[in-house]
Amino acid sequence: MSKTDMDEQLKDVNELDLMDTFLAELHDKQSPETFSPMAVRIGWNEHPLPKGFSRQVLRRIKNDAVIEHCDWRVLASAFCLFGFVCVMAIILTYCMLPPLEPSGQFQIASGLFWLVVALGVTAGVFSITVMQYAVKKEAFSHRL
Amino acid sequence: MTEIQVIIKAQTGDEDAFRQLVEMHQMKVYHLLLGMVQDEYEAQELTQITFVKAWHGLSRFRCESSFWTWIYRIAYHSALDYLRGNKIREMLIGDKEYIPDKRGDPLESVIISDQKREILSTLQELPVHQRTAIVLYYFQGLSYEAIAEVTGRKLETIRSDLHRGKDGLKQKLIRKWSEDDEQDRYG
Repeated sequence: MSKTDMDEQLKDVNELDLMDTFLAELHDKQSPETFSPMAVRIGWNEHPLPKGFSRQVLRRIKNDAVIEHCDWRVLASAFCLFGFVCVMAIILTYCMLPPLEPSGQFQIASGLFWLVVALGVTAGVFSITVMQYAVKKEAFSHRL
Repeated sequence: MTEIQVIIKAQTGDEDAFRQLVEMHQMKVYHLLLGMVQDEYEAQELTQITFVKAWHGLSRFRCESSFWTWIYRIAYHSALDYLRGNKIREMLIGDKEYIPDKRGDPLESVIISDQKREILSTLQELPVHQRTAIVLYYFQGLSYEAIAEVTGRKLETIRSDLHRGKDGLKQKLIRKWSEDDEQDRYG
């Protein structure tokens, strides 16, 4: 190892020892609301928040509340509308179709069966989504 | 009015009381988040999210711990969620995409990044738990116990995060210094 390399290493070790001392001292001087000259020297400056920040927070709380309520209302309305349209479609189709021969009755029955299955799956997916949302919300409140 | 009185008032839905609480703690929370995410714009956004979550969970706050510890816990988890989301996004996109500096003026950003030299800029390269431990312990002066309370991690884990973080910081600094020296030597 050349003398220059050794010098370099020694310099690094000294600087790192200094860093330990520096950090220990920094811990003693700092608190969440204190920006000591030591901290400022390495870039831990006080950064101001925009004026009226607290007002922005409250506005956001109000907006979120409106959106949350709207979300539920929109979802519930959409689901009811979807159900209503489906039921009306079934009734209308049944009424408009000419009376069928006995073999056609089977096709209607199987068509209705699959329609009910599709509706069931849609309702299931909807419920799972809602439940996941509720569980997530509950998990967050438990974490607080 | 004492802080507890303000909290009780805010728990009844008093928005002015909650605004008072926000004003009391916003700087602390913002600087914690700034240390964790290292981006002013995102830190402001996360500070807002923290207080919105605090408002929704305020009724569950029982004055057993201090209010700032409770709010720090929310901020910490919000930042973790954000950083996890970022990690997934990076994995999906591939390389880190270039995000223009939101501070605007390029000269200003050069000056700011120049000021945040050495320790603080190297901090960004550490894993999130080590970075958080260092920010909370050295830059916010919190005790091990307080950090454990905020992060919900064991005391031993905090000690090891801090130890590893400091070692990582030193190694990264050595590398940086030697690179700088080489650059100085060879132009």
